[in-house]
Amino acid sequence: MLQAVNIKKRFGDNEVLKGISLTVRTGDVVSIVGPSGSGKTTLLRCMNFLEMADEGELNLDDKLYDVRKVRKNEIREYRKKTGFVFQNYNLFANKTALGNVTAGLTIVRKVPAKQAEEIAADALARVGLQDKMSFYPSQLSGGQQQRVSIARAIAADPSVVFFDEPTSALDPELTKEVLSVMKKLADEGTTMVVVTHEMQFARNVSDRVIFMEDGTVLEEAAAEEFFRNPQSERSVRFLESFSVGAGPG
Amino acid sequence: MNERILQELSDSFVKLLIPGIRVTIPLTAISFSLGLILALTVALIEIARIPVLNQAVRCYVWIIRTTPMIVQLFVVYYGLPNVGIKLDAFPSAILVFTLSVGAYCSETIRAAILSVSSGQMEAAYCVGMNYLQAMWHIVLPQAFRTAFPPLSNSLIGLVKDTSLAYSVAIVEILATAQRIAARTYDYFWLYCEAGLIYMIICTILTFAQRKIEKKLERTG
Repeated sequence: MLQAVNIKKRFGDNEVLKGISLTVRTGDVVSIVGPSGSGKTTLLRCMNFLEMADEGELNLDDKLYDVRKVRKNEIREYRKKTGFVFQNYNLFANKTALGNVTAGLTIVRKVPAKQAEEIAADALARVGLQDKMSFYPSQLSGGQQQRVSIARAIAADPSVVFFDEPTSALDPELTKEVLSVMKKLADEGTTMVVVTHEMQFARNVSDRVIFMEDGTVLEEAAAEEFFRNPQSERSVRFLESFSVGAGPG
Repeated sequence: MNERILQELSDSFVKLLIPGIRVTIPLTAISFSLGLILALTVALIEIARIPVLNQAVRCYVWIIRTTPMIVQLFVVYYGLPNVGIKLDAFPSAILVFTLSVGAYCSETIRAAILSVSSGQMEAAYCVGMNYLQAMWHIVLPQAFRTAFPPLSNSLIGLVKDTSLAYSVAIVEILATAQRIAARTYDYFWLYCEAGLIYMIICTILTFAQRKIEKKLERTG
């Protein structure tokens, strides 16, 4: 289980996160939605220490991390229990698909090479890329690269996987291919926190939706509930712009 | 060009090649290897902005880049004995060439490291790597590909710069050519031949560079 308590972050005079709290239960898929600039991505990055929050606590699997006091080796321990999928994949350009997935196992966890390759091959098979293992990122399509990056994130069986707008850099066809992999992972019980603009995905795959606006959580609800019956005037307007779910007509 | 000169040139070719193999190549190889280690260290210190050390290495790079190498050689070989440090000619040359490679190549390596997208480092952190692991396994291999052509340039430059070792009484290719010519007075032909030996060594290196660049292109 992952719990974030009162996460605050400012960049200069700009208060990006104004004390955000959320809970992600094991096996849950939580979508974070909201307009651009609402702080979704910053929140996600703060939850993996890619950005250091100014204040707040993270609780992962009953271990508490105070962001103001957390030490480097604690951050590494925390990250070893999480996976992160970037908008622009960030695959290791000097490694093959297989090498991308084994890196965290062999270098960080000191898993023997042969065993790591078996785990990685298995992870790549889960994202449907068992036949691309020896390909370098530059030889793969955007959708395939993102699936490798998902395999890399799930290989070490993390407690939670963060997705930062995983399909924003992809065309609709490739988006579909990545989303179907994510749906499969969700069905298999992977705990996921997804920052996304894909409302269909948020509605159909996630258990809960968090609607952010201007550094605060404006609404938090079961996915279906949020789309059928958004509570705030702001979320109604936001959903209208996608012309899915609620709204007049 | 008469037969005598032709005979002399073919005799002296081997005599020039020997110091090339026994002096120029080891001098280059040792200085360049040590220099690269130094350059990488300097680059990492600059990128990590380690206080004090950062200022120290910038001062070092500044001194090396703003003084002629032959002056540095003179200071080390002829000058240091005055303050009680006596180095033989060969170690003096190694020291000066290493410092030079360290200074010039540190800029190349620093730029190459900075050219690797910051997302690579973030992704490495996200799979649990620490700074050194991320640098060593992810960033440096990619930076190396970028840095390889300019570093090859520096290596070829160094091969030719080793002729400056002549000035501290190291008998390398140029000094050998001079000794032979002093006896026969065929300065023109002997110095041309010395140049030819450098050309051969540098041409071989250029071919090797192309081969390795092709290989680097293939992977990723």
